[in-house]
Amino acid sequence: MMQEVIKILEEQVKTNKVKKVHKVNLKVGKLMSVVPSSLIFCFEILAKDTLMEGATLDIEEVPVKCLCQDCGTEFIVESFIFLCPQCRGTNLKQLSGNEFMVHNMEVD
Amino acid sequence: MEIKVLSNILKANQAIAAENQQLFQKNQLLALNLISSPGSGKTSILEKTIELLNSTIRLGIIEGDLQTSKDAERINVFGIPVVQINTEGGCHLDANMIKMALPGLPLPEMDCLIIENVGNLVCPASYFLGEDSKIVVLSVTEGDDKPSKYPIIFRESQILLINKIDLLPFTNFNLDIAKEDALQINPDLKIFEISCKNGQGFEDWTTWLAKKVNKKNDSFHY
Repeated sequence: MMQEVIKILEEQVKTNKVKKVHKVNLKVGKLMSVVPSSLIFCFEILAKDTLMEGATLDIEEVPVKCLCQDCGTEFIVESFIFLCPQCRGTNLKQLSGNEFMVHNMEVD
Repeated sequence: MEIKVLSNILKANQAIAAENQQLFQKNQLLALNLISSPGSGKTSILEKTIELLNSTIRLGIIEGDLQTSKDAERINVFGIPVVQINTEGGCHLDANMIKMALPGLPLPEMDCLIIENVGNLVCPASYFLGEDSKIVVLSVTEGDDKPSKYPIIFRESQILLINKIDLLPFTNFNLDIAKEDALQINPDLKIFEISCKNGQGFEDWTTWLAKKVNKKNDSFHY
């Protein structure tokens, strides 16, 4: 996974003629089975001897949000219980939680 | 200076999975991704399913393992198309591995492709291979706490097979709790209780699967 991140960053470094990468922001949905500390560990190894070496990797966890299609309540799913807190309905539309993206980067 | 990137990290996998999906559509076949922890009985479920459906449905199998072709050899006995993928340490199959394996299968002569993923309840949940549905297997000997401990795969799957159901009297596995937890994570999950040992539940499971395959095939005949 981190190799894919590095590929995306390298593309950006090339197209934008970047001299140094300071910070990279990722957005990771709670349903993506990704461990932030492992991502950071892998990033540090793969970024070594590149323009990304020493950059901070910031990982924003995106909560699982659902919309109840019966009563219209929007709510954050806690503990993986997909049940509307208002009407106890299960006819839900998932709005977020599957994200896994490079959001932006801060560079010179 | 800030650069907005907004790029999906798994986009390379997603793009290849979409190609696989198109190929499955073109060949009018139902593709299933079978996922579980090691030793829950995926290959035994395949053997029993093939035994019951082989005369009516043209099946093909992709076997994913870290090493060896032992699973493919077990499937080969039935005389149906099978390809073994060895990930050499990789903990999941990805879309490109499937793309590379597909030329080894006679897709136009198949109705259903079942991909047996590497035994792992975590990473396979995140890698779309182009399948129509994910099937998660939970065996009684693993414990009833697996849905709550590994919720993501139960969320991403459409079917849950609870295997080794014949061992229920000899364990403290609480079937109600396992099902309740799984349905809280995914209210649309279709559940079958099965045993490869005594065949319990296989009639229901294979009848349902055959219907699903026929429905997929029929959707092309208009």
